Amino acid sequence: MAYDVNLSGMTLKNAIITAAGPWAGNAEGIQRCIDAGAAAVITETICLEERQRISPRLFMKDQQLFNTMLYSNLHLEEWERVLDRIDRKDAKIICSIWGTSASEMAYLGKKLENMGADALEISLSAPIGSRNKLIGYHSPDTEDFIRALVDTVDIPVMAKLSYESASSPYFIKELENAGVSAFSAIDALKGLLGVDLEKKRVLMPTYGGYTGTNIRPVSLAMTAMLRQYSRLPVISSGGVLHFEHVLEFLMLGATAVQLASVIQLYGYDIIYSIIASVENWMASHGYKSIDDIRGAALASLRPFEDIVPRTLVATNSKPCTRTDCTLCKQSCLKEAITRNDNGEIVADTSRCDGCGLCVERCPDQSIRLSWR
Amino acid sequence: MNIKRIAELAGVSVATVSRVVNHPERVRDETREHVLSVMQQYNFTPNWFARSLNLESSNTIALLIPGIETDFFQQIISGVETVAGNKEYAVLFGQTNNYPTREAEFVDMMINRKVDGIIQVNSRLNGEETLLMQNLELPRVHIGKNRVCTSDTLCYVDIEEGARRMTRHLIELGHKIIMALFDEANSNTSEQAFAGINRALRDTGHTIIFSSAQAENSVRGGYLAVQRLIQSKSMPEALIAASDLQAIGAMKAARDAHINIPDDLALASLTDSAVCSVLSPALTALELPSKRLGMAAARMLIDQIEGTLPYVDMPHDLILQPKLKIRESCGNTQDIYEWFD
Repeated sequence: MAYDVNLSGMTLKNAIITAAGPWAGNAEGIQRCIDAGAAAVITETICLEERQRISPRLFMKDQQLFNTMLYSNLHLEEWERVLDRIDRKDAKIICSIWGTSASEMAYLGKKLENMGADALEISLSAPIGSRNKLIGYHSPDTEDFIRALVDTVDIPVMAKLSYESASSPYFIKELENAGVSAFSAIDALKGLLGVDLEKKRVLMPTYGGYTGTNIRPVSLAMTAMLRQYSRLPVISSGGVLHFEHVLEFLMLGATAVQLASVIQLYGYDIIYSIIASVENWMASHGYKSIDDIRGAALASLRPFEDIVPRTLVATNSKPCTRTDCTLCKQSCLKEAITRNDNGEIVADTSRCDGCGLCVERCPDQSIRLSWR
Repeated sequence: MNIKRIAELAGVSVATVSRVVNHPERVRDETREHVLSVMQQYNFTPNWFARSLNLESSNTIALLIPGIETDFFQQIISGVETVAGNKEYAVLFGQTNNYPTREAEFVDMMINRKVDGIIQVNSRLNGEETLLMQNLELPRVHIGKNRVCTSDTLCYVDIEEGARRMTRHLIELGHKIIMALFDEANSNTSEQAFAGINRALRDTGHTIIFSSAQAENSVRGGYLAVQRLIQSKSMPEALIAASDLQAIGAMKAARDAHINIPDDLALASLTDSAVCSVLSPALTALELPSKRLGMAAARMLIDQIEGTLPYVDMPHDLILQPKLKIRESCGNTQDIYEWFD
């Protein structure tokens, strides 16, 4: 069964790309991504000047992961050796780049093309560190800036978008005019871990890139929105931890999907396991190609205004006498859910206005929505 | 890929390819376009050709720099040296002290020592004085925004844009009388800064009184300049110093005269350095990516030497953007101790 993907003229053997990040910051890391079966590996972001790492640079609380890594700590010359050394097999190498001016980007991009990059990804609006604000966001300069790169190189140029930039149809149009051939979305959100109340200090020293499972819903929405704004391929990223997440993005129209935090959290082997699970699922459902499912869920996504109001109310689907759980009752602002004299949870259909939160939260499916 | 192969592919003689490279005006437009397109197709560059014909590589490059006493030049040296080391080149070094004659002597000396290429920082040489290098087709990269001949490769920091943003910052903070101290030995950079300041003045709706003066690029230069301003009772509300050294001198003079920075005088520097953030008050300054500038210049030079220069169309410039580090010395009262524009 072949689940290959065409991305801007490149044939990817599957839909899984490893995102720009420290897991692809040197030859060993890139090789491990390739060996684990990634169809393409995006390097850590390469600049004309290397950047020293701060330590600590990763922060985590509950399921929330923050990083304060911006650029690769390797020189361009070292990258040349890295790109020479790796055994690419049938994987593509995409170099993530950043510069401060049109000429800098064009130069860096052309150098990496000469070193064998199959494509480039512009790290357009990473949330960490400070940038001349004109370039990362919607501005008259952006188009020139990107066009200089696109005109100089003969390989596809992808733009990695922040949530903010992906949300702007005008910005997306500008990038299209500048000639980018695909969008990656979304980059990490700008985040802070919290504040130590006793010390009155922030828990991390600078703004971090907030990634992981919590940003996936945001990324899902951006994938669907980009599909509406633009005809260019979308490579989704943000909180993909599981093969089902990959399928969700594909069904919302993604051409391919990037893995990031999951590699940091579970190691390189997870890449193989996600690819295999996607393929198993596809095969077990009789799909012969990613095209069979790509964008399949988009048709069910409607504008809010087009949703016909239905007069549904909560009713008991089975009796519940649990005393250890009151999630439904807590969730009801209308006080429609009460406990009767027999200790049973009862929904009062005359008070209920059908928001559905009790149904969502009930662990036992004891409540459902039905016609009034 | 070699010149013979290019000639074969283009269906012309080796001499024609040579003429396209060295004396394009002697080749018919049609032929020239055709040969250039073949060269472009195979990423074959003129300098590669020159090197392969004429010279043995010495794996040495020359770096001619006005001085080694400022952080800006030190970082450039560090950048050039880093990339040269990565590519296994040695760096021969010459300090020109901004004297064209000294620089010309160094150029001769470097050519005699068979360097593979030269990086000139803020060169003072004119077109005639570089003729020998041009004739030898010696790979060259200029650091600084002064093009001697059209085929030169330039790398520079966009000081003009940085100075514009710095001036805009001062105007936004409400300063109405602004003065700039320029480096008397570096007219090129001063001109760019002046152009940027002027743009900011033009763009604002406020009436700003602007003046400028020349001073030595040193602590002493900044000290004396501010003393002079105090004595002549012509202190501005905001002073832009050419460098951190000048700014430190200005700070000292202000302190001696009980002039409070930033309450009585806003002070900013056109170059940032490690000390700017530890001064009190911390100095608002323009961070120039000087190490990256040195790295970029060395890369572009080695590109030429080794024939890996990405573009066939010459000339080309590489422009780096500076970053305004907004600290406390101009009256910024934001809680975040340092932010950027």
